Amino acid sequence: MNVGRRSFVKLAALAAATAAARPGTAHAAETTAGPDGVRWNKAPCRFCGTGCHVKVGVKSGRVVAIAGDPQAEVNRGLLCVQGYHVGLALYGKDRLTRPLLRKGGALVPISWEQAIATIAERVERGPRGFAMYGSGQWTIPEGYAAQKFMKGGLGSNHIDPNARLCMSSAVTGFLSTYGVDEPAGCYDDLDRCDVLVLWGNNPAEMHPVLFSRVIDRRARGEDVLIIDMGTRRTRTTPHAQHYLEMKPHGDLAIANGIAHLLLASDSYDRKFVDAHCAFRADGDPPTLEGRAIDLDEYRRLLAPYTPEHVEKLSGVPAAKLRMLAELFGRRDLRITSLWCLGMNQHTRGTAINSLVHGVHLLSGHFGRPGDAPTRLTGQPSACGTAREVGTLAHLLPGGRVVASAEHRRQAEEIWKLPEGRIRAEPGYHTVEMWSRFSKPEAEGGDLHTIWVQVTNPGQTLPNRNALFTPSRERGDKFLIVSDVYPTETTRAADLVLPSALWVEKNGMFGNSERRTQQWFKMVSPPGEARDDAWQIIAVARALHDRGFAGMRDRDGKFLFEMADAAGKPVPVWDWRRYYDVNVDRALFEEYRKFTPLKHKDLAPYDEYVRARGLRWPVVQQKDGSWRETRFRFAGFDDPYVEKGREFQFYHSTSGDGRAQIWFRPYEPPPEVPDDEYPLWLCTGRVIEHWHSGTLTMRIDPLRRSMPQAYVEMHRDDASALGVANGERVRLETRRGALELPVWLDGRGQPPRGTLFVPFFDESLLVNALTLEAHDPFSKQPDYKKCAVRVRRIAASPAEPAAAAPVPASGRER
Amino acid sequence: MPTFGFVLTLAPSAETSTLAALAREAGITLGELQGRRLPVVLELAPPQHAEPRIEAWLALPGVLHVDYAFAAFDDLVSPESEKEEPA
Repeated sequence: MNVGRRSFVKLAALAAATAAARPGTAHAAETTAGPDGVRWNKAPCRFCGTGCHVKVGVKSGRVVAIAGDPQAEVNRGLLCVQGYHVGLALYGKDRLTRPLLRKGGALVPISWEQAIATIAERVERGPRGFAMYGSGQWTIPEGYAAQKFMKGGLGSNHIDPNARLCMSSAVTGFLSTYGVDEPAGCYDDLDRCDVLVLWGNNPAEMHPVLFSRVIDRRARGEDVLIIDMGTRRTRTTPHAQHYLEMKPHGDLAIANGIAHLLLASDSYDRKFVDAHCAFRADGDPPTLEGRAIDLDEYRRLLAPYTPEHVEKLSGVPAAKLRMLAELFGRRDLRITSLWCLGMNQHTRGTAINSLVHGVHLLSGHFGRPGDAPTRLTGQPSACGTAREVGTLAHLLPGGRVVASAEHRRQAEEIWKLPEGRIRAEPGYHTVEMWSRFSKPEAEGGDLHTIWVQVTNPGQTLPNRNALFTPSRERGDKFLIVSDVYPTETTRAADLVLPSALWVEKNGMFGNSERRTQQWFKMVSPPGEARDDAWQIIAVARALHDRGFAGMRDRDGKFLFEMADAAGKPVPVWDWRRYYDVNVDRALFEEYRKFTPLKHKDLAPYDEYVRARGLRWPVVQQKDGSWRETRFRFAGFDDPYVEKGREFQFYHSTSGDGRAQIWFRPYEPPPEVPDDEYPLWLCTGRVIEHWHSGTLTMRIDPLRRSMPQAYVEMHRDDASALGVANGERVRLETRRGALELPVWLDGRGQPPRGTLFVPFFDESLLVNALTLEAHDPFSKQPDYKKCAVRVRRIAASPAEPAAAAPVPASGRER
Repeated sequence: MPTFGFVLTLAPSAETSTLAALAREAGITLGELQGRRLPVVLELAPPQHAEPRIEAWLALPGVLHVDYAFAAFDDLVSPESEKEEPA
């Protein structure tokens, strides 16, 4: 690098940092091509669900620089440690570059034609035994193509995303409360709240750019009270004025305890509740809709949840519970609750989600900027794809469900399918899918093939020894995996397809605040790697050409027929022609027809090309412009609220415009410590690595910062066991065992009796230990609590017992 | 040479001493303080990494938070630096 070039880059870095420090300032990265030859374009970050926008600098066909996008409302030019390394995720040395087929026990290169034909043959073996497993990393068009291929083409609903494992309890919480999925508020709430209540949430480490909004407000002299409720101290805890350490499942008791006190002290918001809410409780049998109850019955059901009883159930002192209830009882404050996997990965996940919504509704802390129950998501398009496109096994696009004859008819109309093509029975949810794939056909194992895209179930399924390993030991189960790098899943696969990643293809994501985002392909994928959507369309076309009736619509046309601007058909299944048209635009414009039913209206594709995302519903104005919505159900902002009404829950399950305040009781966790397994085990994430580490472990600075998994343990438990920092111990649950180094007084600090292990490390698979027990409504498993025992292992001479497992690094204090 | 842009959020109490400590560091350029936010550019010669420096900043009294704003890493992604391997 010469001096001139270095000076230019330095100036660009300073301009970007200054722009981020003072939003609204332009900086050098705004140019489309600078004097250094770097061409800049916009994209959402590839990692979590926050939806930060980055500026991507490309030179000579390579991504060479990343800057936070100052035009993006989400991040205002800032990024987290993962985000500013996102460009390096493309350039790991072991990218998958050729299709590979297992022959004689080894994966050997084959042609794409052979790979596509192999998948078509597996479908022809029995389409109802063919399943797809994707994720919230599917772009919106990719997920839509997969959804149409499976439910419209194969007539099979056996498609589910790994989002089932991370946020399906949030979905059922929203549905049971408001009758429609996804949050009412948005990130603007973080700029306005006076109190931030964290329910088992660690935003300093998991959503740092959002948390930095709050830290920045404090630095500017604003008072923001942070209350951290959790089962261990995290990097968020030092920022909180109150840390409320709770027992696992204690959140259920706490939420009920707050509601009890709001009623007992008559400090609930009577006006809001009378005007906008109704009450619900579980019926017999329990259903997502429940049964209507009145305020008196609600009060009676809550009566046992006195502060003293809640203290017993949750471990949170009664005085702290009273403090929480008093805060919620104040009308002069604005309160935002945040949660993520702590509440969702929970065998009572639907219950705790609906209870926290209920606390906000009962106290009237809803709908004004800063007053919001807000859940965050972990994947970049868990909302946009898994939920809105509807790649969950029971859904159709736009909030429809396969169980509704009317919804199936609407989907068949848009897809031009013959009546009855879409099946009414929901497909297998994730745990059920992998359970059936693990069994022989005679024992209910009716799935013979699973095609995995954009996820790594070999590492992330709970209780992997029961849900992942068995099928790999059977000869009659065929696993297809599309991915960008070798993973635990590709290594066990029968067929591996190399995929394009992030800006190697066009894409669209939908983030946690209902914001739909778009980007264009900027660089080419390596070798023979190709877009996931192309892979689906190519298989669909192969089936079409082999005479598979499902790949034709009722007029005999191919399901993914596409044409250029002049109306001339383009064979997009031929990779050489795939980018002759914008396939993303075509798929998105078709998908957009599904979105108005549940008032999730999306704008035309080109509006997203111009914007840094738009929050739905996006509604066209009289002047032809498109307006996004920040606050749903609120008359001052939501165009679907009838004029003159302050709030309207227009998808109310009670049909009267009201939201539902639920009573759902405390229940203990499905597995609790006992004499044999005396400790709690909690699993989770770290700031350096994104989920299973497939991408971030290829980024050298991140891998070096956090090179391997560890077990956090309280110093007293370590002393009782006789182990020191860095010593290896053996963790055992009823499902598996794992040896790990101990980290004492590290970044997370569990209380006595609790262990924590992150799941990013493919060499230390903690999901051999976890539990597949799941919520009865959302089917989401609980990765946050199971019973475990720990044994000391004598250190070998090669492994000094006192070596620290990881640097005690920190990004925030 | 990898070049990074950061935004440090500073506490009001320790501003002068914090700025002085940062100004003494090699390889960094301080921008103009924007309210409580300080733009910082860090240039490193490989194989150095930014992470230890960030840890050191966070250990300084008065540094509340570090955000990231820019990274140029073209030296790290040159075609000759990688090779393609099958699984």
